[in-house]
Amino acid sequence: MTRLRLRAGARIVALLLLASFVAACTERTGSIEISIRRSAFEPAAISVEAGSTVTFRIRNDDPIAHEFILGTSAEQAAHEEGTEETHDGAPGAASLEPDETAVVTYTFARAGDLEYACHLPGHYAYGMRGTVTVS
Amino acid sequence: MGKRAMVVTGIVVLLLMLPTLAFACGGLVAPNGAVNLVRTTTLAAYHDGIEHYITAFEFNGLGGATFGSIVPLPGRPRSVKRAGDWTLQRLLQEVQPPVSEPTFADAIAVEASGITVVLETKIDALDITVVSGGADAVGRWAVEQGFTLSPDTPEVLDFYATRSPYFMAVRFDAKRARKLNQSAGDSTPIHIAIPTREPWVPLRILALGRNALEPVEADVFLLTERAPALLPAPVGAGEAAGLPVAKGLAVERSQPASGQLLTDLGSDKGMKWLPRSNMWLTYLQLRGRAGDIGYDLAIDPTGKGRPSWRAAGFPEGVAGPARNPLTGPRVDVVPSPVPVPVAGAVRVDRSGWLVAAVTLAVLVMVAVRRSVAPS
Repeated sequence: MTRLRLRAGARIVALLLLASFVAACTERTGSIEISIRRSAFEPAAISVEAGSTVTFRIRNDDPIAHEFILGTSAEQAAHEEGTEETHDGAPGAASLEPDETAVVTYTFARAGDLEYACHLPGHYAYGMRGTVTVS
Repeated sequence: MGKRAMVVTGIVVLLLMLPTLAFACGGLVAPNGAVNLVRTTTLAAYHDGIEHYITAFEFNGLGGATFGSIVPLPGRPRSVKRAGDWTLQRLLQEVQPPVSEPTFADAIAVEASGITVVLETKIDALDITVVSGGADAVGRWAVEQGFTLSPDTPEVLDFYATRSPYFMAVRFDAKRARKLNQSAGDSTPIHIAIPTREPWVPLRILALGRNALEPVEADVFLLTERAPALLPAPVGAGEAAGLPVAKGLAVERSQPASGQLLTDLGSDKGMKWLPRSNMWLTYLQLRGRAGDIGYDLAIDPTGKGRPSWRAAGFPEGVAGPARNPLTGPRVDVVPSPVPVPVAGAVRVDRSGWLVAAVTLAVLVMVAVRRSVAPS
């Protein structure tokens, strides 16, 4: 009887371990390089799965300063009205001087559409934005 | 006029703004986006292999702010001096009378780091610096000088740097203006002499910092020994030849220049180079939107009817409609959403988890089997 219970317990533990592996797989991580040139992001559209944690490595190849700010359309609209001089340290955001590279890590918790954009004066209206499709 | 001068076509190109119109031959650069430079007028002249620019800078708002203009140049300037005071006004006056029926050119050809400070000078309240360098270097230099550049500046600087590395930056010193008793509305004409084989008039720079739908309006005067060939072709002059058309640019007058006009212009300060006879006057109006001004105006001074595509900004398709800020470029790099998170660009590392989980599961199973095995 005891032997049977121990075997059953072992199977449960093994299943739990495998389940943890499956869970780890759903908490996917990765990285992507984004370059800024002529006030445009490259690439300007990406796709991720919900639950993914992505490390963005953003390089500013322009001679002028830029920003990289991730967020919903509403958050982008708020940033467009904002007056913060720098976004370094804020979740999913960075300010970049010419030739500077910044690293931003962001977890896409839910499905939906997000944007990454620059909100220095005139940059968003100029088209300096990209889209993230979270599926 | 010497023999060589008789062979070479002299070209005078004047860019003037109507008093109520916003126009500049250079792109505005200003701290905090404040634009106080309200008027920039330019005369570009071609004679004996020298292109002459006469540009008048007029400012308002002498509140102490620093602001100025960036003017792309076709080549390295030989000199930068103060120009005469009334050349531009005289040319503007020339087109005030009723406009006659325009005639067009006989033929419009189908052919179409670091930074080096080349020249520095002060003229009245203007600090003028001519620099040479790549687009990025010039942009960084401007930023270092304390200017805030508009988001389209990198693209526009690239557009010009493919043809010429020379740019003229003009800054207005409000303190010096006050010492000179200058007031809002006063202008300072500048004369730049540039040796070049391919004269062109910078037009795309007029759209710098503007929304694509904003109007760009300018008056362009040409004075040549014969009707000039232009590229891109002004509206109404090039469709039949299948040439790219300069959207928003129209020929309003094309006729022999009067002797009186040439005499008047030639008697102004620094204008002795201008021939006194046998010149052709062309008057063009630019009335477009910033998003349409994706070109410069190339002029063939030889009479061969072959303006340079390169001078117009067309090499390898460089010239074209200015980028529309309402749409912007889009690059779709999403061939498939699986695997996550980013197709083609993300490295997902799960091997560690797999090995650890399977190993642990096996170890647990083995341990349990051993612990319950019959002795």
